[in-house]
Amino acid sequence: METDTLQVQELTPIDRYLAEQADLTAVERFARRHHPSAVPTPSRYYRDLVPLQRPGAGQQYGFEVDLDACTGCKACVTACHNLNGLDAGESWRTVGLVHGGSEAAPRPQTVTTGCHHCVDPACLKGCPVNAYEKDPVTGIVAHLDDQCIGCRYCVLTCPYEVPRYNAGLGIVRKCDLCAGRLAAGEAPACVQSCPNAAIRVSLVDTASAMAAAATGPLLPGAPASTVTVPTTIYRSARPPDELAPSTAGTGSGRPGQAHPPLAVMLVLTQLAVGTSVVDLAARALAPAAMVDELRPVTAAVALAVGVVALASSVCHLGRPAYAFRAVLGLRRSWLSREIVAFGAFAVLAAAHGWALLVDVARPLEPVLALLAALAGVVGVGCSALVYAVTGRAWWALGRTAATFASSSLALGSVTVLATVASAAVIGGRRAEQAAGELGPLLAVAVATVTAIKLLAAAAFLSRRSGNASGELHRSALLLLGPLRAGTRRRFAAGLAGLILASAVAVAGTSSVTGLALAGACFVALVTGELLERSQFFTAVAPPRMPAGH
Amino acid sequence: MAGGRPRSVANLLVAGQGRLAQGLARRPGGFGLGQVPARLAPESVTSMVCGYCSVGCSLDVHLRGGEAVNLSPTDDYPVNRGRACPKGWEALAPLRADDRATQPLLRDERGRLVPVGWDRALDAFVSRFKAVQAEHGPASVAFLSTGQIVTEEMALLGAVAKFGMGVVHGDGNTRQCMATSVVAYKQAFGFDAPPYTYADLEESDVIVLAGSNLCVAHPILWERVCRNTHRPEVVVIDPRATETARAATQHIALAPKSDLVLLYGLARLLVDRGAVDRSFVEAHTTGFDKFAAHVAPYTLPVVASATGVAPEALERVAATIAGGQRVSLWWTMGVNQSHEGVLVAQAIINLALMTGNIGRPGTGANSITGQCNAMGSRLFSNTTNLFGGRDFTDAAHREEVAGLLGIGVEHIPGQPSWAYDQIVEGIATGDIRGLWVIATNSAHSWINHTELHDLLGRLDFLVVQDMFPTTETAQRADLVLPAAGWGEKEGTFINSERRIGLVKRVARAPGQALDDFAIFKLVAEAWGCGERFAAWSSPEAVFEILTRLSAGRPCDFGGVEGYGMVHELGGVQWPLPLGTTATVAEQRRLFADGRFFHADGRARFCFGEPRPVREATSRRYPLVLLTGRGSSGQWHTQTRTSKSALLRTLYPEDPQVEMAPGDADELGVVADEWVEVASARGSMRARVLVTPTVQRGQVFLAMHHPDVNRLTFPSVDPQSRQPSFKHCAVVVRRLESWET
Repeated sequence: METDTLQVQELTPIDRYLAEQADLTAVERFARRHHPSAVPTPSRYYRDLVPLQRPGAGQQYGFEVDLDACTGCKACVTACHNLNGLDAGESWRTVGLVHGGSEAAPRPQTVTTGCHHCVDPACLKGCPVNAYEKDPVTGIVAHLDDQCIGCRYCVLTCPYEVPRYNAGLGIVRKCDLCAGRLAAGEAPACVQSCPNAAIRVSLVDTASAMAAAATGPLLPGAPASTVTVPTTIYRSARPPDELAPSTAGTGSGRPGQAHPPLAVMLVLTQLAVGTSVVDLAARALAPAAMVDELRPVTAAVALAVGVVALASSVCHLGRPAYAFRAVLGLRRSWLSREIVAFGAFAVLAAAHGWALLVDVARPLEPVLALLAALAGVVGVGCSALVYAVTGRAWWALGRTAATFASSSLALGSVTVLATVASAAVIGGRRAEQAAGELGPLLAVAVATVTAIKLLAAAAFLSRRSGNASGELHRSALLLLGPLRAGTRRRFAAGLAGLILASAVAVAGTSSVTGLALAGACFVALVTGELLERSQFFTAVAPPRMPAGH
Repeated sequence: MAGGRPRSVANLLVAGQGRLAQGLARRPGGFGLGQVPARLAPESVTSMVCGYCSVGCSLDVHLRGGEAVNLSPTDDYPVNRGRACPKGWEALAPLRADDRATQPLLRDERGRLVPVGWDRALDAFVSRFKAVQAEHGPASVAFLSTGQIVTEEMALLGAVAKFGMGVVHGDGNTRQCMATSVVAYKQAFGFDAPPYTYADLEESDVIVLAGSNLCVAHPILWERVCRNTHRPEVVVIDPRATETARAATQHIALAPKSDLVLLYGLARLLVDRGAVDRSFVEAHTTGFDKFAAHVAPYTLPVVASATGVAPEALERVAATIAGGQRVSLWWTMGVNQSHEGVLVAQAIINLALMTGNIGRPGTGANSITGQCNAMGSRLFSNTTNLFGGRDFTDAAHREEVAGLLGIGVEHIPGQPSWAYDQIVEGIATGDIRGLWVIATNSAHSWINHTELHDLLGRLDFLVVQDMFPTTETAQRADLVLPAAGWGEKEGTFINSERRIGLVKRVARAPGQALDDFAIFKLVAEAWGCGERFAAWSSPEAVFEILTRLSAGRPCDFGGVEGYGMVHELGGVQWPLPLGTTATVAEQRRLFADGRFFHADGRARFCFGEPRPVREATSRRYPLVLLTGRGSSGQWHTQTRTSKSALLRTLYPEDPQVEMAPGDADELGVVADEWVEVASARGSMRARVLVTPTVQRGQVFLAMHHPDVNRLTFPSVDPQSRQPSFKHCAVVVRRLESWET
């Protein structure tokens, strides 16, 4: 007792207050005693907001939103975060704002959006590692976090951009409709938290969801429901045209995400495949020219670039160590197919190189060259389909396939051209002869393909005046507006490539000047393609669920 | 584990429920909670009042090891009934911010803020302020405080500063918040007494909201409107088509600052309709006939032309009010922050008085407060009013307080504080030389703050006491005192419906940070007046002192027996005089007996002539700038809300100026483009949001960006001295591509 008193006396007021500050005993005084009831007490507020029964045959769970009750408080966003223990800044629900109506009768409408637990989920179909499951009874589309490799393809395939990438974990996560809560008779976090009872879970007939999907999108201006058949029901007593976003003063919107590793991957795979193909074509067109000295060089370039491209795409994954799982989705995912095709391309290109170097395997060389090129072409085709199946107009199959094919041709031609030019300068007489024969041909090919690409791009941009509200119009507006600096650079690089290729065609490749011009042309075209591929991502302007604030 | 190895090999290709799935596992939380994240499942739970706005929601704090790990709204609290707004859900996030103040910081001779110990900090505080006072008099040191700290801390600050340090001038931040309502209520009712209880929102059949975007600013009060089973008519009076206006049944999109004319026009229409409750008016009010004569000139055509509202819409509102059985009228900052806010608030009060809509369920002239403890500040900050809503100039009041506190009456100044704007003006005139800023961010929030920034530089000594040394104001300080925040301290808040609620210590403040209570005690000790406040030994001891100070006043809560009772009852509304503790109703309102707090028991009709706005639009500045709350995830200067990564996703990253489509067309801008918004005082950049929710000729900026108050015009209401943040003249200029 005495020592205690002494100690207290020794403490200065500052020390005493600092000690009190660390003392959480107040909690002991006020902590709630153990609650006897197993039933959560808040359940009385949401009892009517969740179905009493489990879904029957032909039914599933779905969210139902009363738009007239949603006033944009965003409690659902934060409750989802807290009650599901998500990471900083992470939530599976968003609230957007539609500026509907007119100046005379403005109708702002806030819209809460979670996962739509689609009848035909595009996240599931696109996943290369089978990390999605649709529950056969509840219809809940669940993400298997431990299976995910973090490729983020589902973020692109989902028209509603529902899956969110968690950079800290290197995986995507998404709403599971609080499956465990529903199973226990509790309401999902968002339903529990809405002060206005605007969100509920109801039983949805899949047949009626499909019928509704055919009649139009979830909301005016939202993505077409036919793609995935979402099950969320948005209700409003107001006439639907009041929900339509006002078009007054709308600009292009914000650019899309850039995805530099993907842009690099696409350009490099197309360069590698293009080189293989052009090499084969050169062999066919000018057999004498493709001399032994050149072939190993082009093969090595194709292989090296292909490997770098694959490595860059693996590094882009959130969990690269599990990249091999990508073979699992071969049956339905174009991403799996792309990965397998480019994997085959790399293996075959390596085998081709081996055949060029080892005499015993020499007879296999032409077949391996052909097979490698074929695998590569299939890969580029898959690349186009990876994006085309997302349903975005800017990534439509025809446009994307033409872009990727022409890029492959231009890049392949200019790579072989640069190789030929280098061989001519450093190699022997035979190489110089070959260069004299092939060089102009390749230069003309490069110039022609580049010219066509630039004309097509210019023609696209000139569409700005037409088609006032479409996706492609917004893409054009983005390219001429917020992205204009990149657009300028892309055209400058393309034009430089075109001029340099024409100069090579005139000057020939058998000189240091020719080599310098061809090298510069290579640099210009690769730069131009990188810029173009970057805008392939940033200028995409699909219809979206209401966002903004 | 047998078979573990083969399984893990198989898992390489097809993983089961592994580590990542476990991270999201949920399990029943116990304590009446539903399922919670398993890794954050509580060992115990305690509930406490939220520290943001005046609604005063209760939050169940989930504790592990006595420390908060998560929270969810309390389901059985009479205020929020299991719901909270985003700020409440994220209330713990700012406590864990990286930039918390952990040590006192003192500006050295090279102008840098360097960490020092508390000894050194207190020494600097006392020696510098005493030096200022020695040279320029005791009144040359002033304080600016807040509605964000607990009542016990406010009271201790008011006592130590005024009765200990000889400070005369301090503002409890009511000038940025509710001063207008204080004056309006005092004059009309005889005491600053919001009469309502939140249940009134559920009882009304007509709800009129003036200058209040309830859905965004007070979402939990809108919840109460949603629970109203009487299919109420909801009339929103606001120049903007806000979320609340959309959810209402009638929206009166009046011209900015034409509200006084509108309300007088409605009063006249009600008189014309015979909707006056004569018996109530005669029994319980004075001045109605003069008021009726005053509003007579506000005929329908006059009002329609001044407000820009169609006559039919005005008549419909009047008919709605006249036809309502239980009409409640509510206002917030759109009224308070006005050049003639007191008259506007009183015009609302007059509508309630003349129609007898007061004292009954579902009625009232009801000001919805801003800050979590603005109501505590109004009663106990000891700034404009002496403790308990008393008058500094009243010798009897001073004697009474001196007696209750056991201090010499000579320590109590005989004059009230200067208001916020007068303290700022005092810096300009050299009367104020030392300033102590507590838990407020004047360099962001004060109107026309370019001028304030200049003035802060003229001070001899500036002390800022805050959770964050990074606020715009703390960056200007000579001394920064690191303070604990909500959740790291004990005390009480008083919410808009006069409900006292508890705040508890559920987290440890970082480093050397101390709760404001401890800091005020240390200051008193260091100043040499600690003995005078010996009885103010702990927050709960101060609470007990406050109950004594309240006794016999209209705000009497002498019957509240300490924190335990507040905790047990789930908050207590004042008044609760000693002896009324037997049964405490969950919801209580004032004036059920028709007796008001004036000596004669009657309410007053107060009114006056509308005045033109101080800064009208001109050819050079053709647009009216309106300001207000951005989103429900933002709070004032965002020193706290910006610390939550989640809340940051709820509002635009860049400042956004809202503009009507026609104005945007005229200017040649489309959505998302950058523009410059400029007033005669300053300018800022913002992205354009084209929206028909703002009228032609007006633009809207959320108040949370630090540049907004470079634009605002410093006019104040002459009675409440509250600034008019919501009206100034600006021009918007399109920025050329090379400027962005």
